[in-house]
Amino acid sequence: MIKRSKVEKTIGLLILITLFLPILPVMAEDEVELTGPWADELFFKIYLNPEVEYLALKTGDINLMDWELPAEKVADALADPNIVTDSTADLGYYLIDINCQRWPTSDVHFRRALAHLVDKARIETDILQGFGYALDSPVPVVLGGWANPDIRTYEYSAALAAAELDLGGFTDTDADGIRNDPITGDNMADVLFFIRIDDPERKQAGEWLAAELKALGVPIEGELAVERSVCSNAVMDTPAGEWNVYTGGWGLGRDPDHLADFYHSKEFDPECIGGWRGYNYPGFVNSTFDYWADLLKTASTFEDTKEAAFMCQEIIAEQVPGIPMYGHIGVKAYRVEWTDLVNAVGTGINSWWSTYNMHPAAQDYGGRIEYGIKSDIETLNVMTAAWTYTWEVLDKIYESPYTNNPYDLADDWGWLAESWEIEDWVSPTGVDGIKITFHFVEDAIWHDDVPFTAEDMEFTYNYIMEQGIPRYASSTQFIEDVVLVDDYTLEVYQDTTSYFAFHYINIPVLPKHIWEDVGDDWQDYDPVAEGELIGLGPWKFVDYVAGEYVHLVANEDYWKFPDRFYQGLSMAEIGQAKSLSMLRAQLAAANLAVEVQAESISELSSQFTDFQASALELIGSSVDSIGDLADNIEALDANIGTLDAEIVSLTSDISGIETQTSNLQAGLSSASNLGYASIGIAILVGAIAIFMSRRES
Amino acid sequence: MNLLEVSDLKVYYHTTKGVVKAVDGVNFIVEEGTSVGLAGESGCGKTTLGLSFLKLLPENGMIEGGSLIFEGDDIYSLDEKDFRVNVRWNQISMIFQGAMNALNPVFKVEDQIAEAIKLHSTKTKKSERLATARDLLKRVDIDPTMGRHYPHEFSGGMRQRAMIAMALACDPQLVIADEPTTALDVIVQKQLMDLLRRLKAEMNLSMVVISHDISVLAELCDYLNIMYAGRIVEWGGIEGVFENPRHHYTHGLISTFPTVEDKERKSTFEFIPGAPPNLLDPPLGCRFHPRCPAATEICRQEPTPELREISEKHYVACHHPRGDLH
Amino acid sequence: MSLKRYILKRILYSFVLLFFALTLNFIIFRMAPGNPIQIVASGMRLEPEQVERLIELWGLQEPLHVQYVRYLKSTLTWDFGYSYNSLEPVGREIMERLPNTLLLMGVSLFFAITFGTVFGIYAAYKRGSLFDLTSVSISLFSYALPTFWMGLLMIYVGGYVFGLFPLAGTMSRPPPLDPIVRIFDLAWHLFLPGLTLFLFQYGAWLLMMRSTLLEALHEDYITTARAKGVSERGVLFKHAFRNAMLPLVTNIALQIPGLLNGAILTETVFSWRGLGLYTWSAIQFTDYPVLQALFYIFALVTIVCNLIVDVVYGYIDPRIQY
Repeated sequence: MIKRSKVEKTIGLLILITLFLPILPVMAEDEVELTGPWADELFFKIYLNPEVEYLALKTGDINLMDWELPAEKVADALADPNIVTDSTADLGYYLIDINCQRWPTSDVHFRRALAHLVDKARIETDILQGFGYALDSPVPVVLGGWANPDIRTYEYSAALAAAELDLGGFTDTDADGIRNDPITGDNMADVLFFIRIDDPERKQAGEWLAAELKALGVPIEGELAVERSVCSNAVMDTPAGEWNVYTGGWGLGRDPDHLADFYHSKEFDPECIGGWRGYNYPGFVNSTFDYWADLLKTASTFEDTKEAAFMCQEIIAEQVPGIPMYGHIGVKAYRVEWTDLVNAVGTGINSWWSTYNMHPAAQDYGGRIEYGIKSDIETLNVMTAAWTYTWEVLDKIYESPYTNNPYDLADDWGWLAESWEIEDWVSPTGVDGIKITFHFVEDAIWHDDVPFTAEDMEFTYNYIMEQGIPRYASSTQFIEDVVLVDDYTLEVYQDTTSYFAFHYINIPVLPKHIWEDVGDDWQDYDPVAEGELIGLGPWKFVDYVAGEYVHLVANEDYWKFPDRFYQGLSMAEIGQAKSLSMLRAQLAAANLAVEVQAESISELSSQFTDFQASALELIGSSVDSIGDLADNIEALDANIGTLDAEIVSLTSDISGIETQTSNLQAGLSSASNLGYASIGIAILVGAIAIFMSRRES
Repeated sequence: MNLLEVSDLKVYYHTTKGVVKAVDGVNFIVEEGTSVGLAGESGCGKTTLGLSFLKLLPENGMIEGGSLIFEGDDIYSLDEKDFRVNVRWNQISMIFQGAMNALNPVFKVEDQIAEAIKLHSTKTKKSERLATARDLLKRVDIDPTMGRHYPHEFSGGMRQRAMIAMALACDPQLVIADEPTTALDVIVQKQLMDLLRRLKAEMNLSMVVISHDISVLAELCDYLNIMYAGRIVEWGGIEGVFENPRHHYTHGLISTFPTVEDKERKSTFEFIPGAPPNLLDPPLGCRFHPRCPAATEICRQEPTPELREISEKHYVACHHPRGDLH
Repeated sequence: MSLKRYILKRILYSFVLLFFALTLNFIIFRMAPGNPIQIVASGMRLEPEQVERLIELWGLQEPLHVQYVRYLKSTLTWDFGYSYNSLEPVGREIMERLPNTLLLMGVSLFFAITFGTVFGIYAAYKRGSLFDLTSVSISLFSYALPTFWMGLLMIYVGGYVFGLFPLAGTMSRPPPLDPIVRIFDLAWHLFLPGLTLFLFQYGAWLLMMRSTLLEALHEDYITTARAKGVSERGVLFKHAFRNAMLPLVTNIALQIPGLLNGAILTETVFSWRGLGLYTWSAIQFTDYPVLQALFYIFALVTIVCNLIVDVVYGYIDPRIQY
């Protein structure tokens, strides 16, 4: 279950409803710049108190923050001219869980009656007040095309609910105002409600449902209002399953495979052998559903997978093992001095793409992003890191084979692997599977200047499987074999046909030259202490002080690093150029060709013309003549000169960083000495006091 | 010559309920080399009177009037520091009641005695002071090596002896002993009285002994003052007062208390009827009249009877002294 | 019995106590609701392979007595296993945070004791005066203020409104390079949390010092001291203070474990990365190995403090019977 920040009802928020209405559903609005990063530095500042973090945004100590503003802060943020807000729907949803194993909720009519009693419109207007949206399917809109728009819905109506109850035989035969049990004929036994009180939204929604049901003559027990620990104990941890209705909530991944996890009968563990009742704690057991759920996880094409997902949603809507209620919308904020941030689906304005694209509004590039995060970084060991905030840092340093369109979770984009093929494959044991062939970029180099090859990726998969690293166990669960074809091609064989299997294996690639020495020691390994936090990503690690900050700098050797040589141009012109680094590479190649091959002016000019043609394609009308190109070459030479200078300054930077590190270590040890010293002084003063008073006597 | 002469001393306590006149116009004399007893029931003001000689009254206690002449000097007119350095312990020292808590529990006994010496003769060396302290302990029959111990390691009697030793530390002209034998068993009481008598003889001490136990005073004193409700009602030579008590209260008090010999025989004794008056609002006239068997109309009227000499060095404050013919 | 034997006995007793605390610590967390797998599973979706691997890593498949022996061994060697939340070694995490907590607690305790004691003595000395009245009122006020609220107020006023002090953390980000400037930077960051924790304790110290002194001043031996000619200052500082020190020493030992309480709140408000904050986040995430380690350390601190008091008492209070 995920925790939600409290939403308070303030009158001012009524205005917000209108403000947020246009954002539904989340749509792709903006272009994304594929080169980056555009800022020079990225500082993660750790604020362990959200209130204080917000104050830091107001003072300008930070210019981007990670957490959703609670309702009472939104009005303040909107009123602050220095703060820009943007909202996004969370990757998750809230629902009424119904126990399908306990009478009377084991009766489908009773469950449908419950579904008719959930007033989603009222939840949207009275509870969420703009911070959420009602939904009917367990697949929220943020997952894009996976949501089935044509499932059965339940109109909010007490009459329809009563009709469903009657249909199930729950009628008031003795006319005493309490409906009778169709089996025993006696008055119905109490329906057990578990309503979470730690979340005011779910509490309200749950209480409304209980009241509606009671009004229809169904006895309710307790309307038990409890906190998570109590709920999870009663609802999820005990084999008895002594509950009927529970106000649940889930955080999701990018794929709709949660449908299978939440309601497949094999995910229900009635004896609690695995320590709890399983993901399917409502105990929904339906063989048709199981069929489609299995297909959801094994179908290899998008169409088949989508059909399975749609069928699963239809069955859930028909059988009602849970009533999806609403998804959350979060408001996040940044400073007005920055621009070109990317409000990515499921993450919001503080996305990976934002840090990759953003730059100060006053200039085209440069600046230091100061990004407030509300939790400490638990570790920077990529093998053990499980914590969201840790990944905020690590995903800037490490790279994975591919990424996805920030505005569409279903649209995969080539990245470290420029392209790939997925083919059918049958394992030696005869299991149907798929073979994925990755084609990696050839100009990626590690932060320590070692070139990246497909061998690193091969090593990563094998290392994870050999060490049995829990975090990645599900990523590699279907990998049968990994075959290195050449330096930039890798084949991954999976013994599943699942469409999602391709998503499973998209994990950060490890530098083989470093991790092969770590070996079995992965759990105790501290890459920061070893000075080996080496990745491939757009940001290079500089420094981490526990509980304080993480300091990253732009990786100028990133294969998608923008060519700032063209920064005299406007952003629009750069947008046309699309991939300036490519141009630069071609110019460099041309230059080399001139030096080595050009024997005559005519040869040279023909090469110039060739180059000109290709350059023309890329930069349009800006390169017209050989003269221009010559100018360009000249400028390029100058550029190489500046690059040399940059290297020199970089070297001095590195030595500066080294001194900084040693200073910092000195500072740290003096800080801890100060701590010990002050305790020592306190003890000493005490001892002196005792000694003095003894001596006086 | 009178060593100590107190005239018309008034000590009042200012409490939230009103003014308690604990000592209300007392005259008191100690001749050099004599010991003077001060007797009375609890709450009659005798301890207040004792404390006022050293200006040791609690915060709410005020000396409202009167003078204290010591060796011809009016010591109440000295400033605080002079009084503290020159009078306290140096000229007048005090043996406190029941030495249980009168000694500081966290300091060694000899250190506490040595501290008294240090305060009044700053030039001595620490070793000298400790040697003196051990001598003093020896003088009160305590093994001098015991000085290194803490008060809680002493018995009640030993603590009282140590207190006496401490009182003698600065060779004072006057020692005030406030209930020196109270809360000790009879045998120890007797030993302590012997000690005090011996010291008095050896050192020619002048003493004021305060006790509710008139038999103790009979053993130790040359003169006896009887105090009742903040006033002295009778004083005179010990034998005169004992054999011929003229005040009805004195008579009652003497017959109330058994002698040391009586105590050993555990004989019965009589009580004075009634309770001592409330000093917030003492009765008009003679303060004893509500309990007095001989009270008449005159006793109930103001003014309170003054002390008058009824025979040689025997004073009584009573309209109808015992033995007088009406 | 000699003092040495008394001290040895106290040490032995402390070890027995520690053993009981250890055992209780083990039992409590085995009886606590929810199992670790489910704690992790509630944060993310786990595949059966992952569950098995975690059970194996955490040694949960072993019988209880084996787990117990392993727990004893690992705790006593300061190796507290791995966090359920971060999967990091708990011992290392604790050692990283310890200096910060020691600094914050040490400095605030030092100033609280110093100022509390000095002003407490002075208030007792000047009892009933305007100074006494003012300092008692201020102490009561600061003692009663909720730490969390006070910390937030300080950040808001000192950090946001006037911008005099940093909003969070133990250092500027990035920190200054010069070690001397670094120390000043640390002091600048320490000011607000230190002041908050100082105020949390200061009032209690002052009130306690004042009342124990006043109590001592009513004892008979104080009258004796005055009679002896000891000056008012001597009476207060030597005779009364020496006796008042006994409860003071006990209080130091009782305050230090209680101070951890204040440290949890203060560190949380000020993003001061210490053990207090670690406790708070471990509670948030039901991180049992971390909590178990922290409880052990708190128990250890409490037991050691009590031992120190016992020993110090042996020296300063002659009445202690060995």
